Amino acid sequence: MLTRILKFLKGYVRIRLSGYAPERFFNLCGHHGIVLWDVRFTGTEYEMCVSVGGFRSLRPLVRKTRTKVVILERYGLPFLLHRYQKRKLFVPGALCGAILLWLLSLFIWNIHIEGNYHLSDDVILSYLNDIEVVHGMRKSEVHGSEIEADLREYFPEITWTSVEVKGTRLIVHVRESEEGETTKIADEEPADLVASQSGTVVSMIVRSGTPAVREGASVGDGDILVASRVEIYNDDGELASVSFVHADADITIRHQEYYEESFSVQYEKKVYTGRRRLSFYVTLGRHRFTFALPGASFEQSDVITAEVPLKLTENFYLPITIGKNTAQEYEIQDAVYTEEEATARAEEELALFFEKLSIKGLQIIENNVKIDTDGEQCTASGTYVIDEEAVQESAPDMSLQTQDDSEEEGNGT
Amino acid sequence: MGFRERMTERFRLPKDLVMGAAVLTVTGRSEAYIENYRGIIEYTEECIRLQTKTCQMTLCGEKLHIDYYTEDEMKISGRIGEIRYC
Repeated sequence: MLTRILKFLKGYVRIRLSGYAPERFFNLCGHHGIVLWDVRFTGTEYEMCVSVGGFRSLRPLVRKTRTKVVILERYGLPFLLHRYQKRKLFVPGALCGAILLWLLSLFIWNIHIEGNYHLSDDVILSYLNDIEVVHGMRKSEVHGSEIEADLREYFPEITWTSVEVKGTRLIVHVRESEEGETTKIADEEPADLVASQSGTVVSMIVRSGTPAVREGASVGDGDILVASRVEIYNDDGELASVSFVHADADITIRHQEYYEESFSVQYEKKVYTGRRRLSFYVTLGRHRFTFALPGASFEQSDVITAEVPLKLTENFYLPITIGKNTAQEYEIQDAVYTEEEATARAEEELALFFEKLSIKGLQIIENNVKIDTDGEQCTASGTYVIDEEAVQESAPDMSLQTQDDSEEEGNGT
Repeated sequence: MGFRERMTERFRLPKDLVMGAAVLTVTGRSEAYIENYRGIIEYTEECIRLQTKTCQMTLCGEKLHIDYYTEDEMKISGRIGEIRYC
């Protein structure tokens, strides 16, 4: 392989040898240190390869052996360069291409965010934009640890981040905490569990801490459910020691809520006339150029806009957007819901409301919502009962405990 | 056996260096490396005749061709049928 590269770099020719004493020619080449390779006998003539340097010193040997040498083909870099000598812009062009590639590789061309569920890409990207982490920034200006710290500080729900530069991509790995809203106390710190909702405790599985209530007990908002204080008694039933733990339990609280929604049975109905009007636009930075098809504009219309932002990579948008507006003309007519229609709409709204609750992890136990329609209004109202894990952590009141302890000590003496 | 040959035997010197003997390495019947020769006398597709210091060496076969040729080494490939000294 190496010899092939060297041969290519130095250049070689394939020659045809004919004449009186070819064998003598070979021997003379050997004595003069000229290397011949790929020698073939073609019946009357010989074909072989010889380096460019070797070929230049062949002339006296050819004369001496009364042979004739014809060049069949030229190979290698010197000949290629010679061939492209007249193309003056070829080498500068290749150089420019290489420099351009190198220059482009100095910048970040794609920001990719991974592992985000609740926070959208846009939210994180716009924050990154605020701290001047943008598409097209220099790679040398990316300070991973600073970006990580900023992200964690700005988004409390992000528990872990890692910023990595791969080629021209900036990859932000994010891990979000599942319970973003509840006040979080570090696992090693002592913490009580308190109710965040008043109701009845229906189930309780305590993993650590002292239960303060039993199943079936009714609790108020903020009541302690599992205390962090764990008391240890000795054989005589006296208090031996007190320790504070990070309380941990699964507690479900059942409570009743009230639901009320109403809407008027008279409403304005859009009746589409079927007439449409198309217009196109191009946004360049802050300027917008609109191209509308001829025709009068509508008095009342819905406009549906479809936009295609031009982008180079997944998240690298160019400042050019192409869009299409479709205006659909409509007329407004007064309409009245029939009783069935009104009930159907109210039921639909209620079902949607319950669906949202169950997505949050709440379980609907009882549903007493009634739907009434009286000529003008349709009202859905009533109570419903849900099971909810309405528990949050709170820092224990340690001072009270220490006071108790000191009192006990005082009594003891 | 001449004096030079006897001394070479006794001192176990390499014969190709002291006596100028040709070294022939044949791989299967398709490749042959020859070192320490003086020159080519004849080259056709069927026969390659070489001059060494003491004798001539003839390789006969079919489609013989010289892969490379330098002053002290050459490689022949093809279908070698016979190797003869005279």
